[in-house]
Amino acid sequence: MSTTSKREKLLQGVNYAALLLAGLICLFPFFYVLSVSFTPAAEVVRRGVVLIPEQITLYAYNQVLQGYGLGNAYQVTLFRTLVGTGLNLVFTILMAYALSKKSLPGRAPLLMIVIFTMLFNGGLIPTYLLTRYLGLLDTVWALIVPGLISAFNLIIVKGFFEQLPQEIEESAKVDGAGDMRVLWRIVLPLSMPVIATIGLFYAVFHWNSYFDGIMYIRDQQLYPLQVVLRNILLNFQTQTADAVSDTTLPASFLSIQMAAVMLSTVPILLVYPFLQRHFAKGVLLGSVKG
Amino acid sequence: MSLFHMRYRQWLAAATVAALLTGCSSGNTPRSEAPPANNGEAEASQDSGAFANKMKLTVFNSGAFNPATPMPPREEDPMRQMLEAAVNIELDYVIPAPDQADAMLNALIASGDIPDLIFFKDRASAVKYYEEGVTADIGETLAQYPDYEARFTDQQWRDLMYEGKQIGVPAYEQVSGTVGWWLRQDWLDALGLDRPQTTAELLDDMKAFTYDDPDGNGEQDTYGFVAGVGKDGTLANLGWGEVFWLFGAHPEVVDVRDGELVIGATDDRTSEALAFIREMIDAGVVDPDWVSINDVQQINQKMYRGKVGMLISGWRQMEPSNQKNMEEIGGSVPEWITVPPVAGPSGERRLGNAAAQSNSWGVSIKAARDEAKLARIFAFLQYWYTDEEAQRVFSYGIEGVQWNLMDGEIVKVTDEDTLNNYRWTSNYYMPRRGDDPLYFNFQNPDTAGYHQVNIDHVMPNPANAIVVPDPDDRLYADRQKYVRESLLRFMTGRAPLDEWEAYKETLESKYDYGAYRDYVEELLRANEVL
Amino acid sequence: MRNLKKHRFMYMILLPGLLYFVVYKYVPMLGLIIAFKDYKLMLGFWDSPWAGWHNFTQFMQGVYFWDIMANTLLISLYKLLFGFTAPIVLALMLNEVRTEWFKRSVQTLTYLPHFVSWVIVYGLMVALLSPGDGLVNQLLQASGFQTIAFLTEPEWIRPLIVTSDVWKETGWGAILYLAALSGIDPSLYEAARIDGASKGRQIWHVTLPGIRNVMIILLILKLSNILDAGFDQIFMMANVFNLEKADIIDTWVYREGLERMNVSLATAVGIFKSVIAFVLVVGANKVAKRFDGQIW
Repeated sequence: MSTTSKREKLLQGVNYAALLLAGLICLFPFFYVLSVSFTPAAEVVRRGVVLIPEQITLYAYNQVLQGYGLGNAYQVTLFRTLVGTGLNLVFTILMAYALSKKSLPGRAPLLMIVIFTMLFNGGLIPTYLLTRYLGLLDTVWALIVPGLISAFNLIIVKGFFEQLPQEIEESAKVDGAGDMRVLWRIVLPLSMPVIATIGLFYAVFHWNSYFDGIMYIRDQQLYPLQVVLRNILLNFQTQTADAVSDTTLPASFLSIQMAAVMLSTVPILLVYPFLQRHFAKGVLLGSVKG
Repeated sequence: MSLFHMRYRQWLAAATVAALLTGCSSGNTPRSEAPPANNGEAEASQDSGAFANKMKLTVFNSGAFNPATPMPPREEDPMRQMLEAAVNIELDYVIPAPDQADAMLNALIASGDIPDLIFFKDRASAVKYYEEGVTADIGETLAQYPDYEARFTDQQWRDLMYEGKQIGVPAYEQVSGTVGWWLRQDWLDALGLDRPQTTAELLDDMKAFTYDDPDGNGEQDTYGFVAGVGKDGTLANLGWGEVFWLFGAHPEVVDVRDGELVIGATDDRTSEALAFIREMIDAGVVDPDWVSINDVQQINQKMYRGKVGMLISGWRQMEPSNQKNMEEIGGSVPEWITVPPVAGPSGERRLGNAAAQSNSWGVSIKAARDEAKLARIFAFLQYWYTDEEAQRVFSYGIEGVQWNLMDGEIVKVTDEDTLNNYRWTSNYYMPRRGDDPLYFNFQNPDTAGYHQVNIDHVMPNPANAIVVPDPDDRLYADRQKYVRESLLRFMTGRAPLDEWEAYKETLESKYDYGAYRDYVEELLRANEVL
Repeated sequence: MRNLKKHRFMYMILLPGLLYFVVYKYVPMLGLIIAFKDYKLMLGFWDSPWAGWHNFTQFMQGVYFWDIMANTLLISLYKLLFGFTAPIVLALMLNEVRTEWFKRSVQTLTYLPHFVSWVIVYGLMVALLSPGDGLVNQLLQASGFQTIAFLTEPEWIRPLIVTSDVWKETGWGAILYLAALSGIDPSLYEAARIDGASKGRQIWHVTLPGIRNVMIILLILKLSNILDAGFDQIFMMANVFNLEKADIIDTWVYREGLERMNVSLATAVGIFKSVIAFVLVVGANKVAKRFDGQIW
């Protein structure tokens, strides 16, 4: 017994050490982004890779925050992330639940319909034309409707639903619960880990997407965050010889780029830690006896 | 046919009818029926008779000078108001994100919302969209606006002709000689060297810069030359191109010399240049980072760091803002000067091609079919590009804010806040003249001289602008990839130079080079260049 | 009757989603016909002239076809090999951690790279791996070794691609597995421990079977984009020097199809990829049936 527990303790130690190493390796680029965002441009060019800046400056953040409808952009993206993710989850969960019932007639062809869309895609121009035809152009709904359900996420949620023991639902039905009640009161609470995960996937997708913003939105008040940030970066990047360049363009726009990255990723990064509490172990404990 | 198809067709039909109706019911005398001699300048703003009805004009400007800067709303945009008032239009000035411009334009065209005026950044795009039937031939209409026509040179108009048709009007004037050879005079002085005049001397000086410690700090940490190469292998604009030009040809350029067709990719001049570049790299005078340098900013950063003796960069590199960068990053402001290119084996000192009018505005076929619309478009262009008062606004900015008249002279406002807050105005500066010193606003008196050095050594190339990719050429992109990969292999030594003939043969056999050459010859003959 | 009523509810709730798929996925699919046409902007989908199989033959008989297929498959398979197993290993390791704050912190750290775009990652790689000024090469020189041009040597590019992708996505990929792991009944571990099973056996007999279905689903889903190989990343990392080993289908299409506005060609290649992926997914699903892990 004691050798086993000593061996186990050793493995534990190795595990901790390995994880710590992995964590640090993953932290490195982010830390790089963080420190460069506070470093003056001249120092960045001079030194190359900067992990601890010699001088701290808020210049880069000023440049990014100063302009160009960033406040609006945050609002638009926040709206689209909250409302969009909410709708995503509703549609996805409903459809996944129905498709998880193996006894459902026509299930196989319905699933094939979904899977087929994961593999075959009409392309940019047809989707643009459709969005235009539906009158969604230049509205925030053009950012929400086209990506309403991700087939990938749907399949995953369906997979989780399939794994729930049938007895739980059946015993609830025996107690007189209707379908909706079973779904709402029993199935969903048990599926919180996967719902939280898929919700996170959708939320990150909304937060990070910029291509749909560029294609479907012309109204500057409606530009989502990533589009505005991208424009801010492009502003510092264009150095046409023909143009008027009276202002001092920084020697390196790297700091500004990094500041933009920080401003765009820190909010969404903070979401997951809040979701982690949903990953409590043993949610099935005690629900079914025997 | 599907329901979707039916609706789309109906929509398109309805839109066309609506457009036609608008055209027919327009006011009194459509511009194009007026007597030929109509000078737009003073009349445009006063003769409201011809502009009795307001028209909507969409301008798709993917060549704006500051595309990422958001535009203010109409109430705060006096420039837009000026343009709208002058010819009574509602102006929809679209500035797409630079790397999405093509996708956006294609989506607009596919959905029937073709903009009235479309910017094309080079002749190839203008020709391509003309061939696809998106834009119209406006030669006839142009003849009715002699003052507007006089605004540009014959050569500029000719650069925008295709198969005898005028497919575009100039969008903004190109400037020649905006890049050149920069050299550290202080290093030459420190080592007691003269300015290089031949390629042999150039190489010797580069060796001296690398091995003889020109900055006198006791370390061998300097290089004679730095350049870069685009990710896709383009050698055009990061320094190597100018080295190729010393030998008289550039691998990506087609030229006609003494009645002979010169295709850079296979010309002997290019192989001579490759041999020289091999020597340079073997001698260790090129900063090894060059393989990872993909954009101009990286080259400039090398310049600021002060460890390189020669490079190719922009004409304004010694302007105060760049000197500031040199100071902050390198610790001092070295004596950088622009020198003429050295003489190649033929004795010629060639920097590159003189700028041809490559960018243009195309008029959409939809607008061109509507006479009143077409007239309004030309009135708009004429006002924007030739009106005297407009010229000042659309070159220097808003009077009283960005510049002031003092004793009859224009004095620009230069504080950083104004410059930052009004950067968006430069998106309207399309009419600015290519040789306008006030516009370019050099602070360093030497810059004009440097620019002149470059201008003196660029040479006109009538052929290159005409050669556009053949849309039926299925191997075009693959051939280009093979050429670029091969040239870089020759340059870096991965392929020995005696494989040059084998390279040309592979081009013939595998990449259908013969067909390409025939196509180019035919094209040039048709345009009377060959 | 009760059977029908139960199913009626199911049909009702899947109808909105189904409507979405039909409208937003299948209607635009009609646009795929331009793969068989020579798409002209002004003529639109319906009036553009037919081109039969021309676009497909141009792609498949292209000079570089076998090169890009080989690159795409090799890179994808390497990524699958390492990128599929790494998140599982990470999730298992994290699962064994007893200290909650350590577990959460490390997990947060590991998914950070997912949020840093390839543009930034590439910039970092240049700063580290550049032949002259790159930090790694400076260290090599200082230690007396030869510098290595990591970013331009064809021999290095595939390992770099796979390694950076694994590093970037492992933490994020582990999230789903951790969610699955939390669903495993702790009493199963209890029972195994009572039976005297070691940690290793517990993992083998309790943990892995518990996430087996998730693994199978994800594997099948990964097969569905086996011919993608990661355009965003490769677009940043591929350059003229390493193109022979890094050019994939999508980068080829970008040059030939999209830069030259040859939308028909791009669509045809898309269909080519889709058909192959379809065959693979159907095949994988059949195999998965044996393990009762099939998707349909």
